[in-house]
Amino acid sequence: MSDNSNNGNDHPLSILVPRRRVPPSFSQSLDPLHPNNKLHYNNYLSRDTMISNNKDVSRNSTLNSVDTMESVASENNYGKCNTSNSTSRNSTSRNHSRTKEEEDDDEEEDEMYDIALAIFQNKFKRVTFKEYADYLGQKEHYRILCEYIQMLKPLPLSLASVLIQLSSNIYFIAEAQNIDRILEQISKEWIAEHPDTLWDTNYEIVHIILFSILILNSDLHNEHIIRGKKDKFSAQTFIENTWYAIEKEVKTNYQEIDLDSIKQQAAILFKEYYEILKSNPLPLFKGPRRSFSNSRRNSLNLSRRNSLRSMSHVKKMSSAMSDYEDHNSRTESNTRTRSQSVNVSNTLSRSNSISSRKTVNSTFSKGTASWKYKHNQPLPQLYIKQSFDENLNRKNNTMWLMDSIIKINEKDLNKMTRKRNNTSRNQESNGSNNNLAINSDNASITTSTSAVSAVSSTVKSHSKGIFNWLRRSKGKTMYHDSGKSMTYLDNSSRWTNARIRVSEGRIFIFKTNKPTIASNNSSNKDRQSSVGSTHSSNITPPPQQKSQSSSSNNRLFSNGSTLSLPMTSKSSNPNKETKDQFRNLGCVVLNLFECTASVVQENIITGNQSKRANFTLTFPKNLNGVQTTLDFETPNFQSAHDFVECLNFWAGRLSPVPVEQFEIVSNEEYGWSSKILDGEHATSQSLNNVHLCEWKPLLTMELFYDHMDEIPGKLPLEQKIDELKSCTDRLSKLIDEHNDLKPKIISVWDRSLNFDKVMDNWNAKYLFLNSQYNKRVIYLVALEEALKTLQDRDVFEE
Amino acid sequence: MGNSISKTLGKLFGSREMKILMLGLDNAGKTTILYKLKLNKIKTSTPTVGFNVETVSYKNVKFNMWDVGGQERLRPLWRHYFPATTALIFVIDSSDTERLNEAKEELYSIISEKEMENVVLLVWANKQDLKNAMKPQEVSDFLQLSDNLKNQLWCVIGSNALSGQGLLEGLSWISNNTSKK
Repeated sequence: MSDNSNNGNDHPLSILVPRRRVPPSFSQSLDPLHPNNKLHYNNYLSRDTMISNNKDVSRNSTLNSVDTMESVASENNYGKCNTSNSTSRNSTSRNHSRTKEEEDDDEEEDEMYDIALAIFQNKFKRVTFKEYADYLGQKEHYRILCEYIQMLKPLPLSLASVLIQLSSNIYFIAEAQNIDRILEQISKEWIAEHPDTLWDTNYEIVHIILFSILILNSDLHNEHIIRGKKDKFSAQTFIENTWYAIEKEVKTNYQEIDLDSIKQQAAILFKEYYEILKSNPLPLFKGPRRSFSNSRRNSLNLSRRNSLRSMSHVKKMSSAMSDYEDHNSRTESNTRTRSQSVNVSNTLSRSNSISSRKTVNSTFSKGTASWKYKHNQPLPQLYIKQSFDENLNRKNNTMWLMDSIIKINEKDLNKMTRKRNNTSRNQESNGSNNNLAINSDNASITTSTSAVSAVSSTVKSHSKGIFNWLRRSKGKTMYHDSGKSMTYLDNSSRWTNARIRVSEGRIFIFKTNKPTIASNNSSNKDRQSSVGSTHSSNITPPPQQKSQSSSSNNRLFSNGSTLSLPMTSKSSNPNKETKDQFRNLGCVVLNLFECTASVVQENIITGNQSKRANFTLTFPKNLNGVQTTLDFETPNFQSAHDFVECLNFWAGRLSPVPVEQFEIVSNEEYGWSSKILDGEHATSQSLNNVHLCEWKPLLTMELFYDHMDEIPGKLPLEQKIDELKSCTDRLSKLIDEHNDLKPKIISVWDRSLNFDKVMDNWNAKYLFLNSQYNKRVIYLVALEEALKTLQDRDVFEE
Repeated sequence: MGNSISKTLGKLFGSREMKILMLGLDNAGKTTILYKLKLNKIKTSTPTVGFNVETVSYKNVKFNMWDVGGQERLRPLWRHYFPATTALIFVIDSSDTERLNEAKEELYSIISEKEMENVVLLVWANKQDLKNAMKPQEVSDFLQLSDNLKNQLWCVIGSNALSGQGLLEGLSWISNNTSKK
C-alpha cells in the first residue's frame, strides 16, 4: 500500500498504528497528529499546508507543519477563530506558543470528547436524537465522529454485528454521504482492531462490505422501495454485488490483496451476513426512553434542519449561538445557509406535524387564507413590505387598497361559499365545537340535509385523514365549470351585492346579505326565496341575527365605502367575541398569486348604454385544469378600472417573475432543433423517423394559487419592475425567434408525415409564450403605474 | 407546498410506479429538495435503518426517491438498483463553479452505466437564487450533454429548492417524457 495513491481524506497509515492508549485523545491514532505518525506524514502535511493555508507557507519545520495541520484539520470545527489564533500565535514566541497550543489542543479534544460522549449517552441537546447520525457524519464533525466510534469499541468481529451494535446505539437513518463517512471511520477502526482477517489492512473493502450490508437491510426490510419487476436481493445477488464492488475497488486502487484466494471464504462470510439480515432487520434505536416525549416535541417545534445546519457553521462550540447569528450575517454563503435552514425547517415542521395524526387536520386546513381569516389567524405577508406601503395600504381607492360594495355574480359567490362550506366541514373535523354557529352561518346556502351530511362526513373525513379532504376539495364542489364567463352579456345572470376589499395581495369577498337564517328544517324552497329576496333588500341585516353580529354588520355595510371592518392583524384581539364575528361573516379570502384582472368593456363594446361596467378576475388553472373567473359589476367605468388596476398591481407584486420555463435546456426534439433545420435529415424518409416529443408547458406553482402562503421569489417593487422588464423583453425576443422559425420549419417538414405534429408543437409553444407575455406586460404596466404614483406623491409631499 | 405537490403527483404520473434516483455532490441541495417534495405518507410504516428512501404515494402512484451518495468505491453497490430506474435526477449547485468538474465526473460515471441506458435525465441547476449561479444553458454547456448523451433524453432546469421554483417543472418534465413507456 502506498500513501501516494490516497487522497487527503484518507489516512491509510493510521490503521497500522498500534492501538491507542486512553479514550480522551483518541483521534490521534487515526490522526496524522499522533507523535508516531509525524515523520510519515511530514511531507504530506507540509504539502497540504501549502495548499490550504497560504499564510503558513513559511512554516516548514516538522513541528510547525504539524501545528498548522492541526489548525487546518480543526478548522472545520472551529472556523476562522482558530485560524486567526494560530496565525497570531505565529508571531509570538515559539516556545511559548507551543505550550499554549497544547493546552488549546487538549481543550479542543476535551470538547470533541464531550460532544461525542453526549451523543453516545443520548444527552446531546443541539440536535434531536434522530439527527445524531447525520450530525456525526458531517465532514466538519470528523473528530467528534472519531471520538464517538471509539466509544463503540470493542467492535465485534462479524461485520453484521458491527452494524447491529451501531444501530442499537444511535438512530441510524441518515443521508447517504453521512452514512458513508461513519462507516468509513468504523471500517478503519475495525481493521485496526482485527488485523488478522481476510481483509488484511484494507479498510476500503470493509467499508464496502458494511455499506453493502446496509443497502441489503434497506432492500430486505424497507417497505418503501419500489423494485419494479425485480425481487428482493437473494443471497446470491448480495454476494455477487458486494464482490463486484470489491473487485472494482481493488482493480482501481491496486490494493495488495489476492482476491482469488479468498473468494470462497468471502462468499461464505457474506452468506452468513445475509442470513443474519434476512432473519432480522437491523434494530432501529428508538431514542432515550426517559425523555422520549420531550425530544419528540422538540423535533416538532424546533427546526430539525435548522439546528443541524447551524451546527455546521458554529465556530466555537461553546459560544455557539451568539457567534452563529453574527457569523451568518457576514457572509453570503452563510446567509443562504441560514435561510435555507429556516426554510427547510418550515417544511420539516410541517411534514412532521402531518405525519403525526393528531395535528393533521388543523395544519392542513390552515393552508387556506379563508380559514385563517375566519379563525382570526394572522395571514402571512405575501410581499416585501416597503416603507411606502404602510400609509398607502390604508388609503382607499388607490392601487394599494380598494374597498367598496359592488356587485358580484351570484353564481360565483355561491360557488365560493360552497367551497367555504368545505372548509368549515374540515374545521369541524378538527373537533371544534362551533358546529352550530357554522351551520347557521351557512344555512343560506346549505340545505338542512347537506348540513347533516356535512356533520356525518366530518366523522368520515376525520378517520381518513387529510387525503379525504384533498379529494373532496378537488374540482367537483369548488370550481365546477370552466372559467370562461360571459355573464355580462347574459341577461339572466344575477348580481348580488358584496363588499370587495383588495388589500395586501388578497381579495376579501364579504357577503353583505344575511338572509333569513334557515333553521335546521329549512327546505330548498326557503333557500330559493331567501336568495331571491337578497336581490331587493340585501343591505339590511335580518332582525333575528345575534345582536352582536348584526351590529357589526350594520357598522360594516350601512355606511358605504368608509368601512371599518376589523381586518385581521397582529393587533386585533383574538378573543372569542371577535372570532365569532368573523365566523358569522360570509367571507372568502383568496390571494392574487398569478391572477389577472381586466375591464370587460375595454374589450367588448355592446349597444347597451348602461353606465355600469364589469370586470373579471381570472385565477390560474388549478390542478384539474379548471380556470376560475369571477365576474363583478360596478356602477361606473372608473370604479371598474380602479379595481382592475389594484388587482393587477397586487398580482404583479406577488407573482414571481418566471424564468425556469424559458431557460430549460434539453435535447427533446420538437421539430426545430438546429440539427433538423440545418438539414442533417435531408430526406423526408429520415424526417418521418425522427422521434418527436410533444411540446407542453410545464406545470408550475400557479397550480397552487389557493394554497400559496409563502410566495417564492419576493422582490421589492423597483427590483420587481426591473425583472419584469427583462422578462418581457426576453419573452418578446423569444416570440420573435419563434416566429422566425416558422418558415424554416414549413420548408423542412413540408412533405413529411410529421408536419402536423411539428406545427402543433409550434403553435403550443407560441400560445404559451404569448399568454405569458401578455400577463407579464399587464403586471409590468400596473407596477410601473404604481411607481409613478409613488414618485408623484413624493414630489407632492416635498 | 408539499401538500399540494402530492396532489399534483397524482395528476402527473397517473397510476404508475416511478423509481427516481436523485444524485449529486454533497451540498448540492438534495436534502432540501427531498424535504420540499416530501409529501404525505399515507401509510406510516416503521422506518428502516439506513438510507433516506422517500416514497410518495398518492392513489396508485408511487414515487420513489433514493438519496444515493457516497464515495466512488461505493458506487458499484448501487448498480443493482439501476435497472428499474425510470428517471435520474442530478442536482447541481450552480453557484459552486469550483466543484462543477467533480459533479460532471460523478454524473457521467453513473449515466454511463449500462443499466442507465434508458433513463431520462433531469438536471436541476439548483441554487439559482444566488447571484453567481450559472444559468441552465451554461450548466448544460459545461456538462456537454448534447455531445455525450446519445440515448437518453435529458433536460436542464434551473431551480431554487428553497422556494420550490423549478421543482414542479422538473417533475412535470419527467412525467411528460416517461408516460409513453
